[in-house]
Amino acid sequence: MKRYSWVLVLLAFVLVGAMLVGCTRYAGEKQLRALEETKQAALSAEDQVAQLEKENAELKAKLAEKQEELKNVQAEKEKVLSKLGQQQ
Amino acid sequence: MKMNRFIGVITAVLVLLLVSGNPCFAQKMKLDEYKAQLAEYQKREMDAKTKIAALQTENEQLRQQIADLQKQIDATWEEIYAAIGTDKATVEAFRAELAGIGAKLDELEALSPEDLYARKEELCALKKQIAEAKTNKLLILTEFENKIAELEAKVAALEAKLVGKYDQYTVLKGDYLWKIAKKPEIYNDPYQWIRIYCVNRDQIKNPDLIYPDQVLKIQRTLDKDQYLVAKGDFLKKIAGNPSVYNDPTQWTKLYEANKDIISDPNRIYPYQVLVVPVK
Repeated sequence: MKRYSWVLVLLAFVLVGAMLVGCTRYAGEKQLRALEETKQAALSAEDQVAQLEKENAELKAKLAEKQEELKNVQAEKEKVLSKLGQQQ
Repeated sequence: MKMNRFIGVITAVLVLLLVSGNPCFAQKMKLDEYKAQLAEYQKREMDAKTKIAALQTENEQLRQQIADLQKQIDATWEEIYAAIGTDKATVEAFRAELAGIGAKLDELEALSPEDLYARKEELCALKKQIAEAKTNKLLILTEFENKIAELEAKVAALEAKLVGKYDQYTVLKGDYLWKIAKKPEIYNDPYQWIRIYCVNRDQIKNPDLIYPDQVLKIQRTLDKDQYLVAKGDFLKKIAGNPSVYNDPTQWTKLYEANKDIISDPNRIYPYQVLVVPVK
């Protein structure tokens, strides 16, 4: 019997280990699915933020461009009126 | 021995079952970990949604501001056109007309001096068109004032390129006829070296010997009594050409007149400039 004592010790370890593992609480299938859905929703919202930020930068650049254009057109108007005044 | 084997098999089966059923090996997530991750993603989603709402509002405001500015710009242009006594359509037509002149000048600019010489009438016509455009009342606008100045500069550059029947080239140290002919402003074709040689026979005795500071004539158009040999030409064929003698038997006349550059009547070269004696 002594010859098999190491086997019995091993079996005991295995059984105790299995019991310990069995006692730990893990997330179930439904919870994991919910987590994945939340993750996807968060990532998609963050993507949308990035797109809107890009659009925002473009709109700001266009606004600056239009402001400059308006300034130039107003200067052109002054110049034309002044030239016409000189011609008369 | 049998007992030994039996216990061994049982142990292996138990270990296998434990490994396959163990959540650590199946990479399952602990409940605490799950809760932490869920909370993190929920927070990220909420933050992003708040930002989305703010950005959408800001972008809409920016679009509105741009549209308002565009309206102001258009209104200012209308005021300018009214002051000059014109309208948008007329301005656009004038813009297109100047663009057309510019395009034609660009086309001429791409030509070799020789081809440009052949189309010098077109250049004169464009110059007239520019002069006419200069009388347009729309020239009061800076855009057109600048455009006309640009077109006039192009015409001046083309006129400088168009010097006449002959250009001049001053030989530089290290030059040789092949190299000169290859220059883009000369013929852009090294094989036309023989043409430079033919029209400069008075100062080039040996085509392999030219000297720095020699001023060579670069022919741009042929005289009426000249013929430029093309690839595949031979004296009989040239003599038979309607613009030459229209009679192949007259080839001897050509040979006699060009003996200084033709040593063998059966051997003439492309780009040789032959003298065509009067019929």
